[in-house]
Amino acid sequence: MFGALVGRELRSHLLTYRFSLSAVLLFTLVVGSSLVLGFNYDRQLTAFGESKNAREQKLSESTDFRSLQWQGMQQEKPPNALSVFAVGLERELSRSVTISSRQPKLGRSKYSSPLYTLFPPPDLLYIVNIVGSLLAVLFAFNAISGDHEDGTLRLVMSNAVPRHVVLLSKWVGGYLALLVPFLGSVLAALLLTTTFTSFGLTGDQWTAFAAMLSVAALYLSVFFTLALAISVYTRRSSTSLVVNFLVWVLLVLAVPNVAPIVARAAVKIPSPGAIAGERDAIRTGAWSAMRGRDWRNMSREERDALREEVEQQIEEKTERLIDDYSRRLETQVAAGVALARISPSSSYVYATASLAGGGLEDYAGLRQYIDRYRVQYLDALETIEQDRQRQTEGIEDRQERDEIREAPVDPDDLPAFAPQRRPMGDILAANDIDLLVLVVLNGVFFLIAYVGFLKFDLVD
Amino acid sequence: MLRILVIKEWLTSLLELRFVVCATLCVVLGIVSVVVLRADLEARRAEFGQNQALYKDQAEEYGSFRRLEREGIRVDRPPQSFQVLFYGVEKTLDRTAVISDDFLPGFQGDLNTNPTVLLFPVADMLFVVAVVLSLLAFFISYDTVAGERETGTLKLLMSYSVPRDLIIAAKWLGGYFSLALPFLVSLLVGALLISMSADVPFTETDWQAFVLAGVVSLLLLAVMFSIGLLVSVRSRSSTTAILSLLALWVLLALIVPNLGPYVAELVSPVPDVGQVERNIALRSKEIADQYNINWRGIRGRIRNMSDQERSAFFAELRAKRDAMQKDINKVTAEVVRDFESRLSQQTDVARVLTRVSPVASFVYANTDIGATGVLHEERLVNHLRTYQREFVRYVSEQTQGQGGFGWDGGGGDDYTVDDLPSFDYHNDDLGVRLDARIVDVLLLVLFAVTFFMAAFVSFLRSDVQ
Repeated sequence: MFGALVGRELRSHLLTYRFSLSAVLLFTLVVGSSLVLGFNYDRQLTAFGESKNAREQKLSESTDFRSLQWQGMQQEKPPNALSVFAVGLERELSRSVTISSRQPKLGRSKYSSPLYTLFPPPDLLYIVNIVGSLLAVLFAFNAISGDHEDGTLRLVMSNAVPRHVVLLSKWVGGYLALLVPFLGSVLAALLLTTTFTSFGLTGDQWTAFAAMLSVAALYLSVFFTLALAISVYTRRSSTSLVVNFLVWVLLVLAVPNVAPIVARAAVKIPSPGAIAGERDAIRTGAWSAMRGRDWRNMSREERDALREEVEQQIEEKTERLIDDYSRRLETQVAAGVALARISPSSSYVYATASLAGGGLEDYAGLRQYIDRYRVQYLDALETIEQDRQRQTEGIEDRQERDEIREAPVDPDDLPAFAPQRRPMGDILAANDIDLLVLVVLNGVFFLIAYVGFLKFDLVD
Repeated sequence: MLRILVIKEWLTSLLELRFVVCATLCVVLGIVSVVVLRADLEARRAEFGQNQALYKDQAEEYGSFRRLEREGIRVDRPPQSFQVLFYGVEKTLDRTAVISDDFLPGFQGDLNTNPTVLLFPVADMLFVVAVVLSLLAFFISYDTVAGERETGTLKLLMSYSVPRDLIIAAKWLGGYFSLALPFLVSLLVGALLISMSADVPFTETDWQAFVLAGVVSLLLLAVMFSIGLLVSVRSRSSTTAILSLLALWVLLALIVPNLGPYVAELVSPVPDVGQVERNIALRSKEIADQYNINWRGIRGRIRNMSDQERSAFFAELRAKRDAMQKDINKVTAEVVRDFESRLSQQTDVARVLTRVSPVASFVYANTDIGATGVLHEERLVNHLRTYQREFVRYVSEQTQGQGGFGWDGGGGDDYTVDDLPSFDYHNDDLGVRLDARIVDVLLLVLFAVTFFMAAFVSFLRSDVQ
């Protein structure tokens, strides 16, 4: 009986204008956006390759250790293939960073046009978040109220069918009708993007992509179930549409977009510019304090020891400043995230962006990675310089000494700048609340629909 | 007769649950967005003031003008009063620039910042009108004709001696008033909230811009309502109408404007930022090689010099270094200007492509009227460069005739930066801003008239059955 009801429900959806329109819309949007973002990814890959070659070229010229330490090397992480489907924070993460003995300096955004700031990226994440959830609402808003209005619900219930089976079949049939065009579009997009662009996924990324699709399915199901519940409690489908629309606007368009600004206004922290200024002030202050010292009459060892002492003081003070600032920053971010989680849309965005490698944790992770890499880079330079100094000991000829000291640095002797993708386990653990929220909301909304449907008066 | 019909249409709309929900949404979202963004702007303004004082203190601590010249002074992006309504490009995380004698300055990003705002669009008035109200426009208009055709009331109405043109005009006016009323209420409450805050300094020009932006918003609503009416006239059932309109809304409000910059990147590519930076580095190195300044072993070279010789040596070295820096700056400016001119072309291409959507025209027009758009961004960066020239001129005046080459040059007890020029940014006149976006405003008028005319003609020729 259940199978027959699901089949009937599915057929009734497949034959509607709503289904055809949704399928065409989803296909056009998902395939179109993936292709455009895929071509964009191609350009990023080319640019990344050129940057890498230029870095190696720079190292293959004669080495000036002072300039490598003070002016530093420009590094950037490889483009993320999954950003074709979920850009997330990739626009910020893809910036180059200059690693030197001074504080790391971010390069200009590769997304240079100011229009990128005005409009959000139309990726799969965005399409599912807004268009997908709207379609889910449209597929379910008249599931019960519509059947009640045209009398088919009474007809169905006149047979010996338990109410829960009717409701469940409506859920399964309608949800399948929504999921089929969605998955079909994603598959087509995957096929076309792989064929026409350099897009390709590694084993880990495939798992992440599958997880992204599962989270999308879970998210669509939240809105489908919510709309079904509203449909149970409203007697007319026009009323159901209005109420659904109100809830959808609040959950998808209002709450997530207001929350970060509310958190920023509620939990105040100094601006990054002020912190960078304070870092500079620590350095300036420490060296200014050394001005009165009689450097000329010190031995080389004494001068080096003093320099090291000053650098250590600077490091310690800077570390304290950054630690304190990072804690406050994390509190602000956490407040925004917690506030936004009132809406399942935020949970979906956080979880999907994380799975794609462009989430909030990846942003914080890159910051920490750059700090670690800077230490490794400077250590490696110092080791190479010291090695060369040892090699030149005892060599009388100045030209020969310079040749050894200024010989090109083998890129392999410097640590590779390669921020790693976080393991799937870590990503899922970091986003467990978001996933739990989506699962729980599904359960709660279905229960509400179920209770309402059990008490539904067919005569009214 | 028209008046009676308009009032009938209007009252019908006002008594519907749909109107109550839409009006509540519009007013609540409008008010919440202004309240939240007002708090954000107040915080930004306070932070801007504190940072300005902090940066000046730091410049004071450098102790010498040579050091100030090398290290530079920080400048924050000045908060725009209009971001309380249209956040626009103020969403960027690139908020601080360092002004020194080195490079063409620009606002820089920092990973020590909160990126959550980048994951979602900001719920400002721009978003409320472009996304939410444009959807409401469709939601109110979808069954204006199709619904009445279904229920038979259209047939009844047409049985009276009422000309069709009056009916469609009344439907448009009545429906549009229902849509514009909650928007105007939320706009008025927003104006009240803004005027109540002492920390949101709206000038007379800002209020004029506010009124102008309100008119442009009403134009967008007119376009969207006319599209809704057209689809309603052409559809046989209201379900078909609402579904078609939702698909249209997705394309016009969500996809076309957002896809624009990406498509423009393919149609009118600009060099990668890394390539530009490498080009600058390469040409700077060529210049440095030409000057061939030997920085090494200066201490050894001056050891046996007399004071006079040392002074002459440093003066020559400084002159050479300044000349080299000037050449490098010139080359940098050439490369960056070439890049920016191509970028500007790309932005124009994106604008042209996305103007298919009235929502895009609305965003361009209102962000630039409110000075939080692309024009403001370009002007701000240009102003930053003007300020850099003032800064360099000031420092060079202070260091002129003073000895020393290193970081201590131009220092001493009388070092003070009290008269250092400050970064005072003022927006363009409203007339200039409007002139720049007149195409978008005219496009909105054209869209509104065209779609209304299409609906009008379709209704005149439509079958009432």
